[in-house]
Amino acid sequence: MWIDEKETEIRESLDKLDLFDAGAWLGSTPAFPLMERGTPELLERIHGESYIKGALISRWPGSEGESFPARESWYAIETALPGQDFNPSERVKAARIFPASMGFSPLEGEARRIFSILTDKKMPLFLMHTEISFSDLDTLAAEHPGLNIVLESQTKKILYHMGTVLPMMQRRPNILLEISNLCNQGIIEYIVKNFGPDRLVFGSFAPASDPLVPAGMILQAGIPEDAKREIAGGNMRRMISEVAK
Amino acid sequence: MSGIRIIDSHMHLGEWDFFTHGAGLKGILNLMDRLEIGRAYSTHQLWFAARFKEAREESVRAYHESDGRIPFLAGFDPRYPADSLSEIGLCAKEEGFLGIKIHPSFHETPADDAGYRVIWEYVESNGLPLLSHTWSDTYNPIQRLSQPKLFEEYADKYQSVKFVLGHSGGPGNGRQQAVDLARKHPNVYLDTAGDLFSYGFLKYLVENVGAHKILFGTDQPMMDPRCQVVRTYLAGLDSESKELIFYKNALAVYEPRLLEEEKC
Repeated sequence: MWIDEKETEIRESLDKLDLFDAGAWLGSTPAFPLMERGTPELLERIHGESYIKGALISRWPGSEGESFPARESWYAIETALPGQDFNPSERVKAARIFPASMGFSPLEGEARRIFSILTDKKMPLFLMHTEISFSDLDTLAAEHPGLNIVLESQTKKILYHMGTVLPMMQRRPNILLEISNLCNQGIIEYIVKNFGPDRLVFGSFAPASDPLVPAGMILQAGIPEDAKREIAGGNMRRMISEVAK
Repeated sequence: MSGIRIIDSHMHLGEWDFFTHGAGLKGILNLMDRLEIGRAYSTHQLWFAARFKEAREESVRAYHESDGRIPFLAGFDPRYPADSLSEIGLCAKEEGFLGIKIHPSFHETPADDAGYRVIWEYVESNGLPLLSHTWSDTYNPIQRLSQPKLFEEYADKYQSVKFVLGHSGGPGNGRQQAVDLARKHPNVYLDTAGDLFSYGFLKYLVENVGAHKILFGTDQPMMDPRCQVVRTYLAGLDSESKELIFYKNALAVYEPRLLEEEKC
């Protein structure tokens, strides 16, 4: 049956993408009432179904105290708090801040201190677009050109904001875009053509979201195969490999 | 008709004030070819802006310029019922006209408002399907007007009308309401269009309402249709269910004559 043949073809193509998930979450959040609580077992199952071979794991508030699951292909994103020490363990390969939720300015001294540490460590900073104004993000990226900033398309979709985001990406080569909730038609082709494939990062936002949404966006994009693999996992793996030990 | 694999039962034509690449007819057709979408059912954005004549003309033009691959629905605006119905009457004379769409949120008129009675009567008497935007009670207050539970009375009264809840009630509490309505009424269907990206979405719908009531849709070009295609193929459903969702249900609701031809 044609549908089975197509499914097989898609599975083989997904496998070849070598997906690495920069946005997998443990725990749960009231912001997504329909989601199943993220456990290591659930994430492993979802990743298996979606041909995802490694991940950066984040934790929703309330699950920070749980021990980090030992999986060879899993690394952690740790929340950085202004005014507190930031001494990440070996498994931590990225940091995230929540300026809006935690009520601090990302442009004030204590936050700047975090960005300097991250720059020194070559550790990328993750930031949901709902947590920072685009003007503050632009300033942050300009002040810390050596800091890779991964702008996450959560917890609301990035759709209406592209008129601001695209010129900012052009101005600030250290801003990358995570694609779990990036659904503008043709956006992947546009960014690859105008800024290069190294500016996009695959993330799933599992288990709240379906990894096959962004995976499908990559798989069916009209871009070269090597560009697909860069977005699917190559870019994130490269940043992880560069983090200072 | 033979060889059709996917029908996008919920998409749009028109211009947008945010980034869409290839939103014109040529771009849409290119993407349809790339994704093996054989047919797509459009509602032009101008129906939502009360520019009825232009909406009709653009819809008809797209139907012919696409060699009949993009048939269309006409929008009914309860704020301008006479003008709206007049234009719908002209649409009904056109090849490519499939049915009616309503959008309580765009039209700022709750789905249970008496102003919709005239269009429910129209679709019932003309044997046409009705598609409505539906959504959940989210941070955007205007979406409350489109909650599936507000359709209860009309769905009860017009049980011969094939009625599609666009977006399956949206990403929150509307989803359960949509499922409840579809389970209660044999004539109520759900479509998958829009940014309904939650994990297990399609499997949940199939388990709760059955594959025979779900229509594949994308919301193209508001949303890139590539968000939907791969996840539908790999939704963990059997092949027969996926065929129903990908195109057979769309034909059954909007183009039953073509479904009969397909069977022959």
